[in-house]
Parts: sequence; C-alpha cells; structure tokens
Amino acid sequence: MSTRYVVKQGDYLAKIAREHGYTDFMAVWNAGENAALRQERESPNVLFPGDVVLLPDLGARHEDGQTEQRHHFVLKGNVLKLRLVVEDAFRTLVRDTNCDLDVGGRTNELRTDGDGRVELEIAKDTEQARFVLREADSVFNDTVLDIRVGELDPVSKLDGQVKRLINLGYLRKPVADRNAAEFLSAMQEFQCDHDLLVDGRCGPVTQAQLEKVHGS
Amino acid sequence: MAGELPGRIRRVLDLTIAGDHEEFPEQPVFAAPASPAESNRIRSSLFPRACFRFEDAVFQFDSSFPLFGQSFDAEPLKAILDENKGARLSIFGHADPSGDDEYNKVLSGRRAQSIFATLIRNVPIWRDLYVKHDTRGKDKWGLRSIQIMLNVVGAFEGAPDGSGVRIDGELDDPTREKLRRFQEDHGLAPAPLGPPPDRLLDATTFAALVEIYMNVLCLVDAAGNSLRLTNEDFLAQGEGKDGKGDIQGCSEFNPILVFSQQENREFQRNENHDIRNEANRPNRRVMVLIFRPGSRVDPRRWPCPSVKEGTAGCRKRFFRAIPGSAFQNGDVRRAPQAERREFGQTRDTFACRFYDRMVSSGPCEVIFLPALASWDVDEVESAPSVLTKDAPAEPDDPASSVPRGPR
Repeated sequence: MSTRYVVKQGDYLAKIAREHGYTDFMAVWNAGENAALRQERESPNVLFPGDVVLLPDLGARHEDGQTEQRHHFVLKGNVLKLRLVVEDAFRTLVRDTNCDLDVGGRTNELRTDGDGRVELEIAKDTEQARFVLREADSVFNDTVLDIRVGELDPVSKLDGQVKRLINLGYLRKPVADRNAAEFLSAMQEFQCDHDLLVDGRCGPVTQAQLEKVHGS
Repeated sequence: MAGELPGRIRRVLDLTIAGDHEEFPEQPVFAAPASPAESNRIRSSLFPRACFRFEDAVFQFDSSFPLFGQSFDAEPLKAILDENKGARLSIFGHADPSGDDEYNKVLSGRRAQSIFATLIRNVPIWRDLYVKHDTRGKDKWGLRSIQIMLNVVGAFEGAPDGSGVRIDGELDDPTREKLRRFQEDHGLAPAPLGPPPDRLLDATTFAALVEIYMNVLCLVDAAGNSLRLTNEDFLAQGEGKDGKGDIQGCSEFNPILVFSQQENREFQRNENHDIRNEANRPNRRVMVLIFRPGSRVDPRRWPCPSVKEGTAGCRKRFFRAIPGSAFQNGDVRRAPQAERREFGQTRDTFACRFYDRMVSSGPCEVIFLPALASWDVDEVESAPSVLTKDAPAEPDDPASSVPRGPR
C-alpha cells in the first residue's frame, strides 16, 4: 500500500522522501505509482503545490530516518546538490570568483569555475542557503542572496515563469497576473534576448527555452 | 504630478532634476535542488538606483552644445555619487518628435556624447562634435560656441562685467582680442581661428578652453570645486566602440509628453512650429541613470546601438502588441492618440521596452514645466506666456549668469 502525500510550496522529492523515512528518493520517483507525476513534472526537484506523490512500500529499503545521516547509506547518484551558475546582467559568466555559500549554519568557501558554476552537496531537508560573491566590485555588489531551496515551480506555471524571470534579472518583484505590464515586458525582453518570437506569451517554446536557460 | 511616479525627487534645479529610484528588497533566489543535469542560473539585475536629468534648456534647438552651470546644476549628481560610492552610470539622450527618427537618433546621440564628454573632460569627443555636424547640418557648433566659451571662461577667471563678446558667430575685433587674451593668460601660442565656416581653433587652444569650460559646467560649489568623472564610472567603462553601453541616443522613441491627435494636427501647420517646439521642450532631455556599485556590462552584449549606429537596434527592443491585452506596440505608444498623454500619468508613452523597464521605477521622467494643457491651439498666435516664462534667455551674455571662480 502506498501513502498519498500532497506537495506544499518548498517541497521537493528528496525532502519529502526523507521526511517519510526513505533513503533513496529516486526509488520513490521511479516507483510505478508515480508514473503520472513523472509525466507531468520533468524533475523530482521541481514540483508544484497540490501535486500528489505516492509513497510506495519499499520493503527493505525503507529505513529509519536516523540512520540516513550516515554517508555510506547514501546511494551514489542520489546525492543532492545545490548548483548555481552566476552571470552578470547581460549573460557574461562570473568565472573563477571566490564566493561563500552558507548552508545549514555552515559557511563554505567556494569558487566559481570556468563556466561560472558553483556547487555543493546539501542535506535532503535543506530549505535555505545564502550566497555572496566575495570579490570586491562584484556584479552583485556584496549583496547576500537569500536562496530558497525547493521554491522553484514548474515552468508550465505562471509562478514558475515569474520565479525564473526574477532569478534571471528580468523582473524585480513577483506578479500574480500574466497580463501584468511588468510581466509582459519582462517576457518580451527575455524572448528578444534569446531570439524567440517576441509575443510576451510564455508558450511551450518559450517555456522550454526559459527552463533551459535557467538550468532547471 | 511627481507623486504619480515611484521613488523620490531629491532636487529640482534650473536645468537638472535628480531623484532616487524606488527601493526594492532584493528578491530571493528560487532554487531547485539539483540532479547532475540541473542548475540554477542567477543573473545580476540591472535596475537604476537613481536618476539625473539634464533639461532641454541646457541646449539650444537643434544643437548639442551645452550651456549650464548657473546654479551648480551638477551638484545633485555629485551628491548621488557620494552616497553610492562606486555606482556606475549610463547616459541616454532624447529628442522630440519633430524631424525623422534617424535624424533624431543622431541629434540625441550627440547630446548624450556632449554631456558624457563634459563629465569626463574628454576634449577629443568635443572636437569631433565641433568638426562633424549632424546629418542635416543644423547642429554646427561653430564660432558661436567659441564665443560662449570665451565669455564663460573669462568671467570664471575674473574678467570684469561687460567684457564679454557678442555671441553672433561673427569674427570681429572683440572676439579676436578675447581669444588673444585667453591664449596669453594661459601661456599659449597666439594661433588664429581657422577659416569659415567652422572657424576651428588650433588643438592646443581648443583643449585649454574646453577643459576650463567643462570645469565651469560641472561646478558644484562656490569654492570652484567641480564634478569630474572617468570612464571607469560608467557601465561599460569606456571599453565599447563609440561609447557603447555608456552613452546612447534614444531618438524620439521615448517621449514623456505625447500630444493629442488634434494638437498634433494644429502643430503641423508651419505657423505653429515655434509653439510646438516650446511645447515639446520636456521631451528634449538627457537622462543619466545611476546603477548600483559593481554594475558593469560587456558592451558587445548591451542592447542599445551606439551613438553612431542607426535605429535598427532600437526597434528590436520596441514593445510588441499583444492581442487580447492592452499592450500596444512601440510605434503606437509613442504616437498621438485621442488624448494628450504624459508618461508620469499614463506610463505608456515609451516605445523602447528596455528603457521603459529601467526608468519605470524612478521619479525623473516627470514634466516640471508649467501646465501646458490649458491653452487653445486655434487662438494662439505666438507662444502664450506660460510657455515663454521659463524659457531660457538667449545666451547673448552668458558671462553675466555664470558663477565666479576664485580670483
């Protein structure tokens, strides 16, 4: 028998699985019961409030949450990471730059690589992180970015489009209406920058490009 | 009127307006945890902190030669930069809708260059503006600009009242004498002016005169201190071809005042052109946007065309109409409609999406001239008093209104 779980804002599958005592969230994702969810959502990391996850009876693999903290129980391929790619306002990568990524009360001194990328393994219940570029005169000007892990919504939803446009610097505050002038203008600007048909509507082609550019 | 736009106006002087943009809390990054193939791309946003606008009265009609400094008009810009150490700038020139788009692109770009060069004391840009004219040949700096500079610099350096020369573009004895005295006072060789029509000064004298004139324009206090910026204070840090990223001309694409269709019809009659040009005054302006410290752009990726390029790059950024919404395309937004529109109230007059996005969070695109709506175009033979009251005097004696420097 499987258990029905309704997704809340901020949930992602690894977190849900962990809260319910599963070590292997991919096993939950790949379970037959979740075929419909897999079809609807491309990634277990980007769910939408109201989605239903069926938590299967995984028998021997269903372990107590306490033991999961020990690393040798974490299966390879199921490691969860927070991965950022940092750019300036016009798509120039911020390469080879020192930065701090604070997660779970610990500051990790990292460095972006040649592709502007920085990544860190994170616990499967991570909800928040903080990121700051440590070099003087950085494009973010020492602004500490508050990262909400698990808050990204599917690109097919308005919220998912808005959040990606915010992350990408096109919008500076959330909007709740797809006819809001700021949203239409930002959407057209994104389409223009990425050589798409500039119509202000986030149809399938624009959604795919938005997801691709954002990276998730 | 000012209350209609977000942010806060901080100073309004004779020739400049300074304001702070609305402050937004930094948005959180909405991230997905990542499987091997996933990531979260975060880009710094480019929204201005503050705005600083040079009014039309800085320039004469069809001219890019600036004349200001009566009341330390650059001081509010210094105050903004003192409060935002390391902030970066970009300059946007705007023309009014008379004349065609391409011509106005050139003229607005020349005004932006003129202000930019003044702020960073770049004499070669001014020499270029002096020697090369706009595409219609109207924006000729010529001997008039030399006469203005001689008078202003002379007054700044303590020449007695009434010693200014006539600003008429004629090479007369007083002008020759004024120039000879300037060269003598600054240890320069007594090179004469070049042949007409340009009356070009020799490079050394031109540089000396222009640098002091620029200092006077940028005065910020009575002690003679002057605002002076460098390429590094601008978004592209002078690395772009022809200042791309640092200076641009927006042609007539972003008016803050659009006449009604009826007004526009009346204004098209020749006898009404002077009134039209007065009424259009708010649209002729140069906007300096101030971005947060650390902001910078790769000029090759900057969306605006350079001041030397045509309007195609601008049009690429125009709003596109969206069927089923109130969203109109750029050419409709900037064109006369049934009612007169002001950006400060309707927010729908700019054709360029990129510019609209940047200035929409700020207070500077407001109209501070006297209300223009209350007169009847059919009855007006000459400009009504509200239009002429605040018009700048012809600079026939700029010397009298320029602050004195230390003697």
